[in-house]
Amino acid sequence: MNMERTAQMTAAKITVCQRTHRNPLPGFKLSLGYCLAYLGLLVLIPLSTIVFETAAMEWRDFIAVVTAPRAVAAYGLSFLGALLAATINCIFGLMLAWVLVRYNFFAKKLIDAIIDLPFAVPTAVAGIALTAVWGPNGPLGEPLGRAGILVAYARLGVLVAMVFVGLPFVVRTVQPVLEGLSVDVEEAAATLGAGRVRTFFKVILPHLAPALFTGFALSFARALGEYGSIVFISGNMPHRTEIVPLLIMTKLEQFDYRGATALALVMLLASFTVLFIVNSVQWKTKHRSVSFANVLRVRSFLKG
Amino acid sequence: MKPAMDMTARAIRTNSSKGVSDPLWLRWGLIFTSLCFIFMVLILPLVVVFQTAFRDGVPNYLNALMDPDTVSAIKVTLLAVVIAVPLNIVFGFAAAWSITRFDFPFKRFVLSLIDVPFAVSPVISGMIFVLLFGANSVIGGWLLENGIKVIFALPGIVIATTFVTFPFVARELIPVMQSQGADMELAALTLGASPWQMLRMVTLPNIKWGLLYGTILCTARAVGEFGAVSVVSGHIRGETNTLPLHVEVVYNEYHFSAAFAVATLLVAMAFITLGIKSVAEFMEKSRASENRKRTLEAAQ
Amino acid sequence: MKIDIRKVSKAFGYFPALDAVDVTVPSGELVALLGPSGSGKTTLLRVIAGLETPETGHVIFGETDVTDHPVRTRNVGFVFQHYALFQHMTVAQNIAFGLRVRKASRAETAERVAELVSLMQLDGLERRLPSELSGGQRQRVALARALAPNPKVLLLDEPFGALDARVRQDLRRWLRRLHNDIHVTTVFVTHDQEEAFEVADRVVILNNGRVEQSGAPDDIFDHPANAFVMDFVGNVNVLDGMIDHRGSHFCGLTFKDTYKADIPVVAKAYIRSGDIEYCRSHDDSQSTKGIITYARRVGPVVRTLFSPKDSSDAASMEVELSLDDWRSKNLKVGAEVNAKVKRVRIFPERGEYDNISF
Repeated sequence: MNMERTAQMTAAKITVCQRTHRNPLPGFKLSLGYCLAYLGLLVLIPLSTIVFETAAMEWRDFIAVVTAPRAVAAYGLSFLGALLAATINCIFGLMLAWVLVRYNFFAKKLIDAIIDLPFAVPTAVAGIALTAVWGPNGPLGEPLGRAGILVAYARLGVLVAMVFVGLPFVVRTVQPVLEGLSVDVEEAAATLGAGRVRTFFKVILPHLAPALFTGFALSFARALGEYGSIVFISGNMPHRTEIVPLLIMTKLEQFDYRGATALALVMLLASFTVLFIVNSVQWKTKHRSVSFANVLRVRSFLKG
Repeated sequence: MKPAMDMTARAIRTNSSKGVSDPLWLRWGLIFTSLCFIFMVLILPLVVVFQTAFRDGVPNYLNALMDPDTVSAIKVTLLAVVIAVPLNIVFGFAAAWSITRFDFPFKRFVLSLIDVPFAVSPVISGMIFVLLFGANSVIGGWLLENGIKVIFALPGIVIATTFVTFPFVARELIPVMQSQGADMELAALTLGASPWQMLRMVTLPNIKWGLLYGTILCTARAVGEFGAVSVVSGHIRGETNTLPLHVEVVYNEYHFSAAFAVATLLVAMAFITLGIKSVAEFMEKSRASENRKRTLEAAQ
Repeated sequence: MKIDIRKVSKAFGYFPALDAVDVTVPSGELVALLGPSGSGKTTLLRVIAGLETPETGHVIFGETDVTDHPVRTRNVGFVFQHYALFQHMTVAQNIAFGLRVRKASRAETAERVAELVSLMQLDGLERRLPSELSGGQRQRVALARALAPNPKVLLLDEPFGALDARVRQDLRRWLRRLHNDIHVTTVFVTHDQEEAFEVADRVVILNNGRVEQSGAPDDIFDHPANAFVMDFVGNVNVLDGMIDHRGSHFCGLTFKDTYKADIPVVAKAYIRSGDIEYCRSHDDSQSTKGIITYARRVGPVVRTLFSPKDSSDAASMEVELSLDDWRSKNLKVGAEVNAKVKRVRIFPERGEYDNISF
């Protein structure tokens, strides 16, 4: 019976002139055409220059550029700094999200709005402002300097800037998940005799883990690529406080486009790997739909 | 009605439920630590911006803003905004419309392409245009021969700005339009609306807050972009400096209070952005809760 | 306006949603498309509206082939399952939409809106937003909006699906009365057979993208075309059994006046739960002895389960009878009784069927 029907359908498909599926909504060709042309001209063609530029390089030259001591020092600072900053952001971001979701206090709404400041303030302004605060004469830099701790114009300054730009990512990914976390679960744990600490580590934290991880990765990726705020505070000493984006910039200013491209390729691979890991983790977790929506929202904030 | 009440009850319980409330010392300890952290990391830098800007008095502050180079930087920035933002609004709507309303192959790939400017460092964003339009490249060389300078000139600034800001509107609209679905638009068509009428009377009014917010984010970023523009601009004072680049130039000449004076303009823009964001989010939220109420009622 | 659907086929990927469907909706009638989910009923409705394009076949309104006409020129009123009211417009603006896009004059629009508001009993709600209305009110606004431009046909997708039982009852009768008043050709989709039978002039039963049967409600109920329709439109017991040279045998029941077959054939018997009667005495072969294993009063009827004694397996039949009957016969759970079958449909494994009343 079913076979018969399929055979009939196929026959019908062959003999009768078939209409193609038509969505009744207008503007598909126009909107997709504009969209693809835009992406092609603005993204694909420019990005392909990296490939062409690298392809023109000798393999030996490429290796020499990306493994030069100055470059290796820059990777170390960029990657370790971004890792450390993302970790700090996870700890404080989780705390901020917790405080904002669970407690009521004076000016909570204002604090909530201020969290997004690093998204809205241009990086150059953030750079000079952070330098002023943490510099030798700044309100925080001066007392620390007296204690022998140098922040601005040192590696610590790079870390401060990275924490600043990455903070909102963690808060904004964790916050909605925490809001959606049903109190019932916690109450159930409490009635079963679990203490607060145990409930937090056994019940709440595992639930927040995917969001926290997403926040960590986004914050890491952002810190890795950050340029504007860091150049002001770091002092830009080769081998010591020079980050990869700055090294690329330096090479561009010296018209060493090949070298810059090689380093950019390394950076690109690193950030795409991070995004890829984030996406695959997201696909695996059950709360994918929720956290994916968050990522969309949060990413739309992202500033370079 | 009942589930709605349940939800309110739950919301209230979140803050007062005895079984799960944190002890007072922990509560205030966490709040205090958070406020200190926020103050140190976010608030203090802004206070310092204004303090330094007005350190030499209001006349000097105004002088810094009236400086011809500042005015020209504002002009360059506005030019970039005026070109990049409308292009990106149209792109954002076109992308969201085609992605949320139609099926086509490689949709995920297109979505990933929209994310590219978020994933790459701004320095690299600038670099790819130097590679494409620089004097050494095929296209750049040909353009130069025909008297068109892209890199180290205004066109480069505009293109780089467009690149780093194009995802904002699309990224705001896609989730909004996805959750709204196409039923209202289809209803408009069955009632005899032309595509233009549908767009004007149904689609746009329903996405206006998302569109506004996306536009604001896009504008804020276009004004504030530093890294990418820095690569392509060439830092020609009074010609190819945008506001953030001008801040850098003045700062590097040790005119600190002048640099911070210009920076206050950018901070003010950031505050406006956050303000509009809060309003837009509030409107979206009340709309979403209305929708939830409606589905709850309808489900009964 | 008469609607003719001729050999319409449509597949989503490899899933055939509609398979050479032929349906005729006579002018001015109220027709229900009834079927389980995935039967293609909503797809068919959307094809009529022009919201989906059929791969083959034709949709004809009156004498005009509208298959290639876009949605907006078809002049259909479509009520979406979740209403799809314009969230940012008031009730009055929603109703006026179809007139506004046709550039109707202000006075004309106002008059028509007022007319529909009173017809739909929406008085006093004109300035409310859809989010401030109850489910039933939204449904009526959606209907008013669809009717405002005087559509040639009215199409409703699960019109009562999202409402609670009470409101649904009221709206059903109200829709019937409304249709009697305005007489616009109407097609609605439902998965609820009671709804279809109560409201519609004609019912079209769809399954797996094919029309199983179409006709007047009574006709379908009394003369179901096949086992699927029989199963779908009533509360039926399905008994496994066989046909041999003496008659058909099912769980201790023998029906002599039906088929006879020289070589035994496997068959199924379909008996509606209301077509079985309890009696104290064992009179003929169309009844069987057994025990009432369960009884529950639901308002004016009693729903029971009956286990035939002779049946080898643990088969039990649903039997529904009136409360009066239950009381007058002094029945109770555990009682040993005879169940007499008043009407049965037998479908042999292959093709043919029979309908007998006793």
